[in-house]
This record gives sequence, structure tokens and C-alpha cells, in this order.
Amino acid sequence: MRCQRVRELLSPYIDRVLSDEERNKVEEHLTACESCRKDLAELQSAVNRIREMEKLEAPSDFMSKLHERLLQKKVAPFSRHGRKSHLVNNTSGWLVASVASIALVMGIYISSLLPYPVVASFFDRIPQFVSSQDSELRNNIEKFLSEKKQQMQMALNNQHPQTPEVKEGPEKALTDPKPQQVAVAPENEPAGQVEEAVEPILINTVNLELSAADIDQVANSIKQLAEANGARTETYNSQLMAGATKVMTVRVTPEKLSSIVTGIESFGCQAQPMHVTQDLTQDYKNIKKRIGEVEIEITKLQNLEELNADEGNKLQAMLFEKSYLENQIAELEANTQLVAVNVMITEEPNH
Amino acid sequence: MLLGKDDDLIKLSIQGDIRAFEELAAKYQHKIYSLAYRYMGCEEDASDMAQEALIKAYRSLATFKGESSLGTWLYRITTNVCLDELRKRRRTLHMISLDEPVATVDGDEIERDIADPSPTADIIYEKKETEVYLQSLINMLKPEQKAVVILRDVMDLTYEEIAEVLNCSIGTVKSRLSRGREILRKKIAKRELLP
Repeated sequence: MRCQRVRELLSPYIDRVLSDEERNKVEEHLTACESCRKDLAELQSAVNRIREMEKLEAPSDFMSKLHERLLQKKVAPFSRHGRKSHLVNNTSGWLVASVASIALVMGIYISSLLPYPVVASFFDRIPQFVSSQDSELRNNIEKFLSEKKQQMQMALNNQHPQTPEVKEGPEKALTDPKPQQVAVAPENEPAGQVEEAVEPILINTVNLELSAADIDQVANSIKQLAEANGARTETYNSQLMAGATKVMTVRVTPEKLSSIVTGIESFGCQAQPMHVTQDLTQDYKNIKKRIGEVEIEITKLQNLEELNADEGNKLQAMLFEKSYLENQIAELEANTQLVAVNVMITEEPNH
Repeated sequence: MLLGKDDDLIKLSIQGDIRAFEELAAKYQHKIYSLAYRYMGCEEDASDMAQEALIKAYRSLATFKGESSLGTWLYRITTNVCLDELRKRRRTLHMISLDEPVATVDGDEIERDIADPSPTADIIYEKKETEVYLQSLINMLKPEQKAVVILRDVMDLTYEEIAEVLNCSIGTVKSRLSRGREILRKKIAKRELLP
């Protein structure tokens, strides 16, 4: 080892952080080189002098001065006062942006899996993820969501001319893997980027359509049937279609599938059950990709030693978005093990 | 790692409990002051910067995730506050640092040799003088070298902790420390050779 290299290693050498190999080489060199030994002695002495410097204490009035400054009105942790002030709109602004981003990513997933009304009812579930008790914040999000739903309603109305009968709409939609995409996330990856390998996310679905005089009663019966078979149900109310509609998804193990389907059919099925395998791999990737982006944002914000109010609000929104999307990934992964029985219940026209 | 008690105090502080935060601040006040003093080099600035760092910590405590220790997190804020202030002053005062080479007339660069701050050589072993002298050497280091030397040799942090505080790699810590200590070695050795 040359002297120059050894001198670079003397500092980590005295801190004992060199690898065994490096340390041996340095020691070997030191035995033979007087000049480097002298440097080491001087370096050790200099470091010792700095280390032996007086341990200082804060002045006696330090804490009382701090107390005064903390009492000043403008000093406040953002999480406590941020929402109560004019900043509330910023908080909502960031959260609404996050919700919009979720809608963009999730729109594909939901629309390819379920009949169209469910795409809209997805929005109904979002406010549940806003744990805040801040009613103004919640109102803002709900306002955004209702505007979004209106837009979808208009989109749906515009599509009717191409659909022979409203009733066939959903059924037709089910046969097409991606019938009515609300939003298409760009699939083009930047050139040269290695995409993480993902197991195909395939979900077997069985779609049923019922019409009933009392929607709630049928929905309740289906729920009981599902529970008796240890299956989980998700129910969506939809105000998008003409007349009242409920859409239920029963997630059932393959073994229990036939008994569930037979049971539901007995409540008054309109058509033959339709089996479709949905490939949600791309949707899964889209969500994962978005989580990655959100994580980068979160890390950036958390690395700032101080956040201004706007950055604090953004961080909250990003954390919310991340937890929502991670929840969806977990759900999606769990759902590949199950069959999704989608039941669309519409009110009988006579009633 | 966080003690259970710190954890509780942090939660209360985030909710706006000033007393809880003051309890935390009281625990760390001497270390933070000491750190700020070594960066700034005088009592008045040290006190101001340490206060500033604690106020910043209070404001952004909600972003503290407990991934590093509270101490490391506070050192990071203090370091940033002090280095920002020093950079600001450096811009205005055009201060020079020890290892900033001086360009000579014929275009070569030679190492700057500063006049030693302490006038008389015969009292260098007196503690107070030595303290002042050593602090003056620290003051002359470039901010990034100053930070690693102070965090390692004054605050006794590990390389890993320093990397966390400065948000850089351990390799960077090693090389900056090596360079900073080398400058101090030369200065101190030269001084101690004096009669």
C-alpha cells in the first residue's frame, strides 16, 4: 500500500471502522514507514485534543427563553392548528388531488371487474378512508366526489345510443374484459426501465342478474347466504342507473361457489350466470407504480427538516393515498384466491 | 432508540402540549447547545441557533417517524439550521476556509496558510487558550468538513449516525472526516512544535 492511500485510511483506522483486510494492510505499512507512523501519531493527538474539548452546557436562561418563544402565537405544530385555520382548503386541496389520483388508477381496476354502476359506487367508499373528524374536509371531498359522479352520469347517458337496451348494458359490459374504462393510465414505461416481474393477477368472476320487488330484502338474503358459507360481501348502492339498483359482490372459495350460485339463482335470476376470468395484472402494476411514486413523494417530504403548512397537508394526503392503494393491493392479492360472484339486483319494472 | 417516555412526550407535543415538548427540549438542551456552539463558535449565536432548531423541531415533530432516534433527528435539524446560517454569512462576508486553495499569479494553486489566531505561543497549553485555539480551527473548516468533525469528535456519533444526520453515505462521512481531520492535524502539529 502506498503512503498516500494509507494516509487516507488513518482517520477510519483510529476510529476502528476499517475492514480486517484494510487494517492489516495499514498496520503492515506502518511497521515499515516512519513518516506514516508520525502522521498517525499527530492525527491521533489532534483528534484527542478535539475530543477533550470542554463539554458545554446551555445557559441557565435557555429553557425560559424557549418557553417564551413557544408561547408566541405563530409557533404551532402544523398538525394541530393547520386544519382550524384558513389552511383547511389546502388540506382538502391535496386530499382531493390524491382522491382524483386514486380514481385514475383504480378506475381501470373497478371498471374492468364490475358493471358500470359499481365504478361510480367506488367513490362512495372513499370518504371512509378519511379518518379525520374534520367535517369541512369531509364535505370538500364529498363535493369533489359528487361532481365526479355527475360527470360519469353524463358519460353514461352519452353512451346509451350505442346500447340497444339499458338492461343489457351491464350484461354486455361483463362479456368485455375492459368495457367502459373511465380512465386509462399510460402503459408506456420509460425506455430502459426494468419492470418488476409480477405474477399474473387473475380473478374468476361469475356474474348474475336479478330483479326483485324488494331489493333490500333480496340483498339481505344474499348476505345471509354468503355469511352462512363463510364468504365476504360488498354491497354498493347505485343511483346512476334508472331505477334503484344494488350491486353485490360475494367473494367465495371455489369449493363453495356452486352452492352460492344456486342459492342466489333461487331468488329470481333473469339470465344464465356468466363466467369471466379477469386479468387485472396491468391494473395491479398501475397501482404498484403509483404507490412507488407516492412513496418517493412521502420520503421527500419526510426528509425535510421542517414542513410548511402546505407541505404538511401534502404529506397527509400522500400518506392517505398510500394506505388506500396498499389496501387495494392487499385486497387484490387476496381476491385472486377467491371467485367473485357479482350480483346486480334491479327493481322489478312493475313496482 | 426511543424510550417509551420520549414517545409519550412526542405524542403530547404533536397535540400542542408545550410542557411535554419543553420536557423533551430540557433533556437535549445541553447537547443541542453544545453542537450549535461548535458550529457557530460563540455563545450568543449558539444560543440563538439552538433555540431556532428546537422551535423548528416543535413545528415539524409530526413528521418525526421514529426511524432514527430523537437525538439524531434533533442533531440533524440543529446542523441544518447552523450550516444554513453559516452559508448565509459566508456569502455576505466572503469568509475563507482553511483548505480553499489560493490561486497564485502564475495560475498554480497553493494551500492557504492562515495566521494562527492566538498571538502568543507560550500559553497554548493553558486550557482556555487551547479551547479558543481549537474552536478557531474548527471555525475555519468548510461547512461539510466541520459538520463531520463536530458530529464525530465532539458529539461522539457513529459513522452511521452521522450519515443519517447529514443525509449522505457512510463513504462520504469517511472521506470528509479524513479530509477535515487532516487539516486539523497539520495545524495542531505545527503549533505544538513551537517552543
